[in-house]
Amino acid sequence: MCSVYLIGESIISALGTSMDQNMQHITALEGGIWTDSPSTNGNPIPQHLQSAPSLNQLALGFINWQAVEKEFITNTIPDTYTRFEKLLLLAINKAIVNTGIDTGSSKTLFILSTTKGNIELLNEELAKQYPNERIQLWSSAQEISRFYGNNNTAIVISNACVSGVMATTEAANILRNSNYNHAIVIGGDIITNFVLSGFLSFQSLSNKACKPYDSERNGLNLGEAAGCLILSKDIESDIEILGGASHNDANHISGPSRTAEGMYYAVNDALKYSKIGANDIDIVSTHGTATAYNDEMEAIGLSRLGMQKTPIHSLKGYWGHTLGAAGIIEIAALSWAMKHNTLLPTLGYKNHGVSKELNIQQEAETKEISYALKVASGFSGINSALILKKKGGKK
Amino acid sequence: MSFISSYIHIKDKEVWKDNTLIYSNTEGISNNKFYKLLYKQLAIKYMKFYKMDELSKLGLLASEYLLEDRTLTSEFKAEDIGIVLMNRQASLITDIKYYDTIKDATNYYPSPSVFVYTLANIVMGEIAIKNNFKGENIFYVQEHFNAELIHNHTERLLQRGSQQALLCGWLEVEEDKIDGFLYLVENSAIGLKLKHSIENINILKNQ
Repeated sequence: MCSVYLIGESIISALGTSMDQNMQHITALEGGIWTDSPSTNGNPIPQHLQSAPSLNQLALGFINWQAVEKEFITNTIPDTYTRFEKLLLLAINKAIVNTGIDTGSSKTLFILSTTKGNIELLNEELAKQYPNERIQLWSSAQEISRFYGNNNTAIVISNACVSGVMATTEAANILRNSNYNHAIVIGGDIITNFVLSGFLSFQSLSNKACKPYDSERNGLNLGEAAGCLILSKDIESDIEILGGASHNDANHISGPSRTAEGMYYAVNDALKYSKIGANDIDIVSTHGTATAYNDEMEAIGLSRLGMQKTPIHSLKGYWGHTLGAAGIIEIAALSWAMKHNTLLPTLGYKNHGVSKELNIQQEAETKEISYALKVASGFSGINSALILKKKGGKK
Repeated sequence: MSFISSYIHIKDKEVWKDNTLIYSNTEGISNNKFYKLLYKQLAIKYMKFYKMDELSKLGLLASEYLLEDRTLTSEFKAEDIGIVLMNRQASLITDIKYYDTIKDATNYYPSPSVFVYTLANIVMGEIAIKNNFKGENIFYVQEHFNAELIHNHTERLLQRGSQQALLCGWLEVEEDKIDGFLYLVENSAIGLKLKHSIENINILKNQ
């Protein structure tokens, strides 16, 4: 079976609009979570969030929309697209630079990972500006692929917080088993009153920058982001996409399994399809949302897998939980870590607050990385795992 | 080689199983009334059903009919039983209901029990919990039923040996329209013994 490579990537998050900006902040332990006082994120409060309920009690990873709007203009992205779609178009533009792929080719596939897409079009005033069907996820995906002259049916994968990892796994599997040569995998979600009010009602939001795995963690930060991964079986690169899997806990729709059932199966399957063992993994990018249950579940899962000593990081302290974008931008950051042989530090973690031993990276550190694991878990009890390999790595 | 062993199609107010009409209601009742009638007809005791949104109710009922005479977890390992679903509107019908609770500042009452169903894939969690299925899950959103996408994903999972049985299909709920189509794919030729092919899936869906 042919190999699939990651040949281009982009991240637009609270940390900035370029890979360099994002990775410089992460390696320097500089977070982008906005809190009322003091503001650690210099981004201006977006217009649409100024009316958000109890804004002064929230900590959010919002994007610098003023900066992004300027880039929409320099990238000549038309106003016929929604805010959500423009962000994705910008993410694609940034990722395809230098890849040389033909976006309009019948052998290029678009895959969109999102949970809520254009949900803000439920607002009647806003909805007037766009065709009715634009609130549909497939419609967004179709419009985005048409922008690049692509006439294939774009695929939308909407599986809560694992969407991005699942979409990347699915893209690689489709490339390996079809005539498609390239896949443009995009992930995005924006902060809307819809999602914000829902997470508030769940009481799962922290009022401070979140603290993954820490004894004082008290919830997640909602973030917004867009990212893009360009996968190819035609063009080689240093990073190869290996096996991935997803398993359901069959336990609870809005909370993880206490025994990390689904995560355990997903990682084991991913290792099996990649023909490597847990010991071969040099770095794990975890979900690490900083909710009490998620982080404890992951600690149990990693412990069951015998990975207590493997260096891990959560990036949620930098840009928050970005839902449909999370898997995509966290894989992009992971590939950067692999190419630069750098273990990424976890922001917000100080005192160990989960029941199992974990090797949580606290400073950026140089280390040869051959294999990396990305995991994610989400509502409906779903858990996903995907493995990346660096060319020239051991084995 | 893999086979479709059974299918269920809840379409408008009719229930078809393996080419036979097993239930229909012509009284022009609401979707919710119809779900309640099916729930009673199935004689299941599952109180969580009443808390579910429409999409989850439809998915749960369809899976109950499909698996009425089977206990897959006694035949296969829980982690080898997967779910592959698709629809057109994701969770839009519930999104609109939830939005009604937040759009007006003077009438603001967001509820976590409604919000959780504003994700299309929750229905897979509900089916997984009810049946203890711990296998692969994926939820696609497409403009039209895309048998090829579901078929190819299902085949890849069966061929690499990671899954032994998969519940696949399309679940769409609109104001007064129901289209719940689920079928069971496995490696042995039992039940319908229908070859698992894109063509056969489309034939069943369009019947």
